[in-house]
Amino acid sequence: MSANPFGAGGLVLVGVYLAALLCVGVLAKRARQSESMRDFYLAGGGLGPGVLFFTLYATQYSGNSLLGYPGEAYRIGFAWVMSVGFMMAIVVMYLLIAPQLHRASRQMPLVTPGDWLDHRFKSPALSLVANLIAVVALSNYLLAQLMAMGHAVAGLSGNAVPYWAGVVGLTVVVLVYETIGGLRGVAWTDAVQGVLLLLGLGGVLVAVVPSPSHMQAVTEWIAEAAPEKVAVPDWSTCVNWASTLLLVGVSGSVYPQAIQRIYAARSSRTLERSISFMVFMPLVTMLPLLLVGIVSLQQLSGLEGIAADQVMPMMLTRWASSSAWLYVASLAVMLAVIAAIMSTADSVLLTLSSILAKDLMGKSILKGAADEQLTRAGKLAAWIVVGLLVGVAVVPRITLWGLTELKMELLLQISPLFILGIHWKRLTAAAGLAGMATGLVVALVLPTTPWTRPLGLHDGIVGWLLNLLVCVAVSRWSTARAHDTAHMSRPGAGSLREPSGLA
Amino acid sequence: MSRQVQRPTRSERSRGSPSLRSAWAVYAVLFGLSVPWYLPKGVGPMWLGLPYWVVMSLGAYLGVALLTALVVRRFWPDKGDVGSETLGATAGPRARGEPR
Repeated sequence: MSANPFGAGGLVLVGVYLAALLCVGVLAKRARQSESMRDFYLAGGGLGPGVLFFTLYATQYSGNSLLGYPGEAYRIGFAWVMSVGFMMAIVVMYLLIAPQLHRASRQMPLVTPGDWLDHRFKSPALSLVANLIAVVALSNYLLAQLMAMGHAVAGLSGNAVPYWAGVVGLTVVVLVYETIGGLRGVAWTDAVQGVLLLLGLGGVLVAVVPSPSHMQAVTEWIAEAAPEKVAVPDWSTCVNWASTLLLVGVSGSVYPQAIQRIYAARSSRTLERSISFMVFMPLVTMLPLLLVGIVSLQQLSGLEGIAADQVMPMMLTRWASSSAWLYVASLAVMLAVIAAIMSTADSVLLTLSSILAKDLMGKSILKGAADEQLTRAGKLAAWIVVGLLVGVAVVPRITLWGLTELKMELLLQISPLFILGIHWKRLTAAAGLAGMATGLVVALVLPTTPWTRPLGLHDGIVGWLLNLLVCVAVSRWSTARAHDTAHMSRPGAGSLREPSGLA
Repeated sequence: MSRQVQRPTRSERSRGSPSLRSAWAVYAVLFGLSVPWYLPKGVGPMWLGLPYWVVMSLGAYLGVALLTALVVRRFWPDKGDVGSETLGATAGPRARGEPR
């Protein structure tokens, strides 16, 4: 096998692709209608059904999916079919929040998830803690994408391009088209990347499973060599499966970048159509990735830990050198891998920039600043954060799935603010804050104790359950106390004001 | 004056059908069935080249996807109070049988 299995053709294709992304960024800049934050971060709230669907799709399926998930299938076997379920659970959970958040975005100028929290709870402390959690989770997510860039470029070039060069090179391209194009640029490039992703995964499916009999031969081989990866999962794996469905389903639905896309939908009907299609995408996206991991068990042996995250690039390089047809299919997948990583990185970066600018700097050092100034500050903050994260990414210490779980367990703790906040008017700011703090402490402290993962549940899930409990208990207690106080001060005045008024 | 025969609206037609709450119960059942906790341990038969329990899980997830498409089509709200509405509680014109 040559050092670069895709040869000059692969490099030219990647170069053309990256240049095309930059051109799309320039076109998006020309399409800008104003210098407002809403125009830059939400494309003016005018994303149509096609672009919205592809940007949701390309954002949800990331470098973690394309590199980390085949790696996880390699590590745990067929039980990784759970990935189809948890990606679907995210879309199901959208049903609880998407219609309401979209409608709210039509009634008031929402740009960040924190804007809705400000409106709903009117509590600076609660918004600050939630925004800090979002910033940490998004930074973690971005870090995973940067690491995935390095893994992809190094793996796909047969290490001809070193890991660090992959991280730095692709990051600069993302930064440039995101800085000039805003969400419009990101969403348009996501549409290109989403199409590539679908085509590439079609190629993967054909490459991996030319026929059911081929798949059967692979499964029978694994049943002999590693029966635990084919057998019905044991009880602890089943508990982990259920826990992961809940963890990813709930936390994935409150991804800040997903909430911004909900705001950015042109209409309710646009959003409805996109969600209807999105729910089927795990079947056509996660299944091929699962099968890549499974097939690689037979073809690549001895990979452990972080090394298993290289399964996808290693398989692609094998396919590329096996036949002309598979070379073309592998090229499509290679571009899809890069596309998936970049499309998620750009979305996360843009959202991170908006939260830093509007929710953190806009309420402190840049209080009262004009939209243009905040937008510029957000772009600068994005470059600084990325610079710091690139420094961490060049020395990977954790698996991509490990990073994903960490992010999910943090984001999970802000989900009650949205889900309960929308559906239960009695949820108070104090209760939300107390619940979030409880959940966060449990999720962070439990892993350091001997009682980590009780009953096989994720520590974040344990924290989340306590979070919900505290939210309900404190809300009930505080409204009952307010009720008593109202009765004592104004006898006969029995009606309570809702703790937080909604539009 | 001729009397127009009024066709039942979509929401009237759906009154006798399972409610949104039932849909959430079906979600719970489908997700519950997708996890093979109830199957005997060990390597079983293969369907379509895959372990049978993997095909069963995928079947449950296909059910989730179809149910979601149905729920979105039937219960997607179009207007109403931002805070108090739940999916289906404040149904939009389509759920009320009105043209959009």
